Amino acid sequence: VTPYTHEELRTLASAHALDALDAADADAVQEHLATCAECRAVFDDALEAAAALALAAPSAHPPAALRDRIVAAARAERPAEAEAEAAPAPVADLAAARARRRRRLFTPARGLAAAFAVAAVAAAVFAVSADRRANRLQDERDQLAALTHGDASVVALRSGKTPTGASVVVPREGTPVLVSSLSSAPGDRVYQVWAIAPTGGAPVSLGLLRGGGQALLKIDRTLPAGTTVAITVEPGGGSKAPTSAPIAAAAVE
Amino acid sequence: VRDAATSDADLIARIARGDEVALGDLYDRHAGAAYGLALRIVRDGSLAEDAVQEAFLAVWRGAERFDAARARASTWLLSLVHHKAVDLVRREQARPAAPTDSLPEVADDADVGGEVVSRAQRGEIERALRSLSPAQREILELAYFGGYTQSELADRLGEPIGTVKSRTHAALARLRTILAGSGFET
Repeated sequence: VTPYTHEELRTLASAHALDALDAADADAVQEHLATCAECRAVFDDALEAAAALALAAPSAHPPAALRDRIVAAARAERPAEAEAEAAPAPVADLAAARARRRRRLFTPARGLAAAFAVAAVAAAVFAVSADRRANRLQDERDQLAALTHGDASVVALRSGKTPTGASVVVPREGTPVLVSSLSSAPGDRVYQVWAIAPTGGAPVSLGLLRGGGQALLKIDRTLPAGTTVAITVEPGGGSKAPTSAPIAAAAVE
Repeated sequence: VRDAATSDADLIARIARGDEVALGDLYDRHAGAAYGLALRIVRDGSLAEDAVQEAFLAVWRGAERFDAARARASTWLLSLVHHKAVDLVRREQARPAAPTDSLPEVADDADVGGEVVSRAQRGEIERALRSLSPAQREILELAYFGGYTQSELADRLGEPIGTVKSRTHAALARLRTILAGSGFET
């Protein structure tokens, strides 16, 4: 629970736009921004003012090679992902997938990628799709970082001890996302994602997924530590309450 | 030189479809401002390149989810550059001695890196900054370009944290008001 009033948080929104808050305050503000349109407007305005400040810094010529390096790095990211989408994991690719994962451990999204690498190693058979997930997650993390100025933690949903291909990404600040590479739901059924509060109570539906490909489900609520996220298989259209046992679940840290 | 018919938002939309040429075009427009900003914060050419590269790659990855209704593309890009640069400074613990100079001089050359900041825009920014109180300018300088957090600023300035918070807010709000009043658009 934040120690701040709405007025105090509105004041802090400016410093947040300057990346100038201490971590605990940044958390408090980000949490508040998720639910307060007034403060979000203050933050967005402050971000525009910060951009004007940025333009007060003297422009400078970067070395010519930087442009090529950026375009080459961008090119190197997309085709790899497209390839992984096209071809299901041949065993021969596992070593390459591992090598890619190792390289990714040294990127700025290290914590996130490492969390995913661990999940992938635990289920080598999913290695390439997990690698692809890590790619997507890294994208998501970067985008979240852009909008939320924060890091993210990742919790893999499991069936017993086995990772299932679904994970919850909880940014330190901002909107949680469920990332799924579950196979298609059987027949005309769907996957339904639920949250169960740390204190128990009725599961709250977070949304539906069809499966059969990469999917992102934005979660329009905060997930306090100890919240259980679970997935059940439900009739098309979803259910008001779970009608079957979860196929995957995990508690948010 | 800018092709005025193509907006930044158009470029972002093309980047979202994996168009490398659009990424290069966005770079050509904003690299000068982005590198200048990063350099000002990290004060090291190679770290500044890292910050700019990470920011453009974040644009590449996040373009399809960019919300043009919420912020201008240039605001988004510069906030990414700023965030990465401040991250680097804090991670390296290599923050140089606090700048004692005032906010940066406005560059005479408005065409560095093919950027789109006009001389008139720079004039507006400079005028707006001059109309802040010295204490307001100082706090924006230290927070935005120095990478200091609010509690670090309180220590450094010997002021209560509450004063630092309210002054930061007031300074940025005033800057915003002045720029809006002069019709400034980033």
